[in-house]
This record gives sequence, C-alpha cells and structure tokens, in this order.
Amino acid sequence: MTMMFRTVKTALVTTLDGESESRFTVLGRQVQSKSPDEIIGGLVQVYFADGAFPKSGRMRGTKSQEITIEIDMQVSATAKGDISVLDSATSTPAEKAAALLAVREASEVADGLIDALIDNVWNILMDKRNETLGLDKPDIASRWIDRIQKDTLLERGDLVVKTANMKYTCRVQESVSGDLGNTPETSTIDTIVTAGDTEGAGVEVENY
Amino acid sequence: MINLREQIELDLAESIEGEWKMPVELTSPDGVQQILNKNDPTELLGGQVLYFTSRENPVTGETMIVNNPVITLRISSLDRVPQPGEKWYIKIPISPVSGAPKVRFLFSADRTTESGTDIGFIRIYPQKIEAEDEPTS
Repeated sequence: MTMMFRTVKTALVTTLDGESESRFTVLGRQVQSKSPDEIIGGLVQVYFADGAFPKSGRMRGTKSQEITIEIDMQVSATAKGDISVLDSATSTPAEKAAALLAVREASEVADGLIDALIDNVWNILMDKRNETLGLDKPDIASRWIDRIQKDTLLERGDLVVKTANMKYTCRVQESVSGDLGNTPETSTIDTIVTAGDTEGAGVEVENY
Repeated sequence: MINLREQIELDLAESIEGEWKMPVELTSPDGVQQILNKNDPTELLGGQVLYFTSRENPVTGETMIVNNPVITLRISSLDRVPQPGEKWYIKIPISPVSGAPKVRFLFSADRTTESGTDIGFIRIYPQKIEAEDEPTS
C-alpha cells in the first residue's frame, strides 16, 4: 500500500488533466527545463513538496499528515499585432503606424496568459465537485490553496516566459504498511485445449 | 585628417555592412518603411545579425544557447534612429542562407542598453511577433 500523499498527487494530476480540456498541459513531476516553444498553451507541473506529522497523544493507528503539493505554472508568449497591415505593400504609413501603436508586447501578453492559467487551475481545484479529487471522503480532508505567487519575467530567446506557483495543502491519514515485502512473479494458468478444429474437445470416455 | 572616432564610424561600413551584411527591413513608429541604406541608396539596408546567444539559466545556472537574434546596425545608415519607448517593426532573413525568407520581429530601443551612439552603431534585441488570435464569438 502506497502512502496517501502519492495517491493525492496522482489524483490531483488526473483532476487537473481531465478538467483542463486541452487548454494546458499537466505533468506529474518537476522538469528541469523546458523549451519555451513547448509551453505556449501553458504548462502545469504538480509535485509533492512538504509533509508534516503533528505529534499527538495517540501513537498507534493511522497518522495524520498535513501535505503541501506545489503547482508550478508556466506560459510563454510572443508580441501580438496586426501583421497583415504591417506586411502589406498597400497599407499607408498611417495605417502601419496605427497597427504598431496597437501592438501588445510579449510581456503584456504573457502576464495575461499566466493570470488566465492561475484562474483556470484555482477554479478547478476549489470547485466543490473536486473537493476530494475523486478519492473517498475520509481519505482526504481540509484541502486549501494556501497562496499564489507570480514570479518575474524571464527572457528565453525571442520569447518571454512567465511563471507562477500555487501551494495546495490538505490532510490525509497515513497507515504503516509493514514489511516492504517482495512482488511475486505473475502466475499463469494455461487453459489452452490442444485439440484440432474437427476433433472437438472434451473428456474421452472409454467403456471397459 | 579625421580623428579616431570618425575613422571607427567609417570602418562600420566594412565591419558590419561589408561582405557579411544581412539585409533588414525597418518600419518606424510613424509607419514609414526603410529598406535602402541612407548612406548609399543603391544598397539595401543591412547589418550584422547574430542568431544565437548564450544565456545563463536563472534556475540552474547552466549556460544555454538560445535562439535570440541580435542585430547591429550603423546609425548613419538609418533614416530615423530608434528612441526609447518606441515600438519598431523589423524583418530579417530566417537564416544566413542567401534568399532565405524573412521573419518578423518587434523591438523597442528600451532594451538597447548600450545604444552605442558614441561609436556609431545601435544594437537591437528583437522579440518575436505573431498575429493576434482571431476573436471567437
């Protein structure tokens, strides 16, 4: 039996992935570095970060663990503008000037994208329907998003990357599984009857 | 006799607009496009384009090579010099191969910390630009 924090992390990834409806990508681990081209739609990394076992008078039975799961969010962006006017040979300078004035710089686009991603993730996790992340009620309790933090803008090549972090906390009951044991080999029961197509298969009865 | 500073400026015609020159197209904030060199209108405007630069990964500290073009232009070849706070549109070849298609970038002179006005060149750090997403109803 695995510890509950692992079950909760997997359930969190499954919930976010299912509810994202392909609007962003969810990974159940922390990756070292990622090309900005791959995180244009938004990348969410979920990983277990912290666990605390408050000591109580009861030392037997299940142990209550307060766990913290980090949710890292990343988006990358380019500047956005009316390319068709800027590239057109027939556009007047006034039209091009207006198009340039209306261009949204990459930093502004990235800030809007990370806000939308935070909005989506927070709403999925705090939705009453996802309170237990699909687990049984006693397995997980007191879930909460403790804080949201946006980080500085990073320039990665000709794209900009914006990151943010969310801390998901909840309480689970851990029970000691005992010996780690070993995994037995899978047993195979051979049920193939070696009989030809025309011979039939069954019990041969001989009269004596 | 010209002084050393003037000589350096004249040398830019060779060092950044010589045989390694890459053609660029500029559109200023007032919408005026420049494709010819102001010093020699029979020539295309161009300069040095470096496609990759090394950066330090702020998380791990490792050095990475990133696709981040840096463009160096001779100021005296420009009809108008980019100023901080302005948004400019620039097109450069996608690769150093002859006849390569051009890609679009946006730049602002804010990023040009070492504007190089004392020795006559400007360094540009462009940012990729894409079309606005189609509005969905």
